[in-house]
Amino acid sequence: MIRWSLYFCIALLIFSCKKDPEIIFGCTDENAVNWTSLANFDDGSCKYDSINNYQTTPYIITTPYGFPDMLIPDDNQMTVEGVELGRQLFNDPRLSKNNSLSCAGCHNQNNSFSSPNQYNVGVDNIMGFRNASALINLGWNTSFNWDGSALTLEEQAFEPVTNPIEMHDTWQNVESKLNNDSNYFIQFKNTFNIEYIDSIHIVKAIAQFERSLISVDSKYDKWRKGEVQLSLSELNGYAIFNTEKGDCFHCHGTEMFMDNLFHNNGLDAGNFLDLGLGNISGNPLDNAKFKTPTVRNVEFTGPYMHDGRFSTLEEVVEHYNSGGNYSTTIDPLMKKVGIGLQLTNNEKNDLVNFLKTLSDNSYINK
Amino acid sequence: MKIINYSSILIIFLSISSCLIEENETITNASLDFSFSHSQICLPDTSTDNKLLLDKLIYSLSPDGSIIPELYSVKNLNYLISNISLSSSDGSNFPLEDIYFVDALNQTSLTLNLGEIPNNIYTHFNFQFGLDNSINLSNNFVNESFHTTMAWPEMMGGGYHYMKLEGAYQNDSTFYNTHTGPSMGVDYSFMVSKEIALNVDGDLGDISFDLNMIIDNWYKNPNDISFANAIMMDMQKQMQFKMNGMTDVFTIELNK
Repeated sequence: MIRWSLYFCIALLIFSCKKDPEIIFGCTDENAVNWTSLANFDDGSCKYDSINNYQTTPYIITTPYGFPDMLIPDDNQMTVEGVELGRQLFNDPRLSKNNSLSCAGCHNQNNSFSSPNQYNVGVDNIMGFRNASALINLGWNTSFNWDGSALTLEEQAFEPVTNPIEMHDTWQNVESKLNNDSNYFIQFKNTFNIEYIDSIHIVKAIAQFERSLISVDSKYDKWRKGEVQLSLSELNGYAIFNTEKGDCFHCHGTEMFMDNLFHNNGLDAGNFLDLGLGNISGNPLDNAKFKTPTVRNVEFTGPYMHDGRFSTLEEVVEHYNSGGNYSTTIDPLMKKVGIGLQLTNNEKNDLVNFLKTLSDNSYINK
Repeated sequence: MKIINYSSILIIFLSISSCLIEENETITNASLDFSFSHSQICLPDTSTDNKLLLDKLIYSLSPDGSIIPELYSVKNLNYLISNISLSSSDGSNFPLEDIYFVDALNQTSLTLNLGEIPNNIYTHFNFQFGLDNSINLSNNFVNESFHTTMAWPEMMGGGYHYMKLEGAYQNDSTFYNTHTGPSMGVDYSFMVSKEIALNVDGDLGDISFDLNMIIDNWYKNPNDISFANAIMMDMQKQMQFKMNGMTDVFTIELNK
């Protein structure tokens, strides 16, 4: 008895300070059929659906020089199957009410996944009010849409399907259409191991495809690698772009050629028709601020600005050369407002020539 | 029999008290917090709230406190500090943070928890304004939040801005951009060492410092600098801002 109480006390001494959480053995792989959320220690018991042989192949993203690591959500890791499924969904008009308009309908690959039109018309023949953004290197963006209304690609992909001026369908209807397609059923099963195609996995696949849209094979990139030479005009344009003479780099800097921020670049002198970020944040100081797009592939993405007001790169350069229009929320980086950059015609031409070195023809012809 | 019972009780007591001792030991050092504040001008009356109000045109002050008839506002203020440390009376240096990015518009960047600091008598708070040239290289910090905001083009030396201070002067529609950095590859970063009296001995609980930037003083002492633009390639201006920054731009206050 005495001996047992001694053992008990010694055991207490040893274990009294331990605060480790309880270890629950089980299958911790969400892709397994016997996965359990309670388990916190994988005991090797996971079993997989052998009939459908659910096994995905990781889609490897090679981070381009000078780019950060891509922002990929933990719950939507890239797979070869997911990217391919997303590509098909992106091009599928069944995501719209009358099966007439796909994502690609407004985001044309020939235009670096933007639209050559100032505005596009939705399935109900209603004209939009913003220019379709180019889709390029989106995996490095921290917000989406001109006004930053979506914080992830998954969130962004939810919106156009039900937007009355775009695809104007319901998710219930789209899910029904896709579940009746046996090819999609198998693909979703093989990609996400699901038995019912739902909106969550539809946008996940589209987002995976969009993250795969990477463009870093322009003449500029080749020049950076020492593979080609830029002309004197292009080099002069590069210098104008990257010094305070043109001061393009403060918003379109780094190898991504964008800053992930919002600016009022002096398009209008007040009386804003579109409040942009201000509409989302509710802060009047954000009125008329729009997200900086990358200028990679800018040659392909006209018309320009959130409202597509400029048809050509020459018009864009002329806008900045004029200094822009003063308004209360104009960015102080537009420091030549009222004065203008005062570039010569040759310098403006050089700047446009440099911008065209950012064109990646392989991207639009893939 | 009784002896064994007493030993059992003793062992149980030890087992309980050993945990208590262990927990007490973990809180013998002090926890250090830091806040970053900004004043547009340095008011002679220190009791007046002097915090920066963004986008508000006010008059600049001369070093003697008289008004200089030049209005200016601050719309945007970003800067990098590095090599943040405390030095002590015994000559040792306690590093706190390698690099910190302050964005005056982002409240979360205005406080920094530096965790526990060991017992010592600390006499100076030190930091480098900007980044040393040895690390201030293009694309050296691609995964840091400041990478896109603070990048300094290779055409002008490469690396990252030290500071982007922007606003209006004279009127609402005339802008200045005070952008300091490694102009043409020359290192204009500088060390700031502020005297403090901090004796950390046992559990002091939370200690809070406030580092204040007096924006007006960037333009005043010893160099009188106008609100000009396009200074990124102006090596003389960069040197003048460095000298002013070393003189009286920063003050530090121990809150506890």
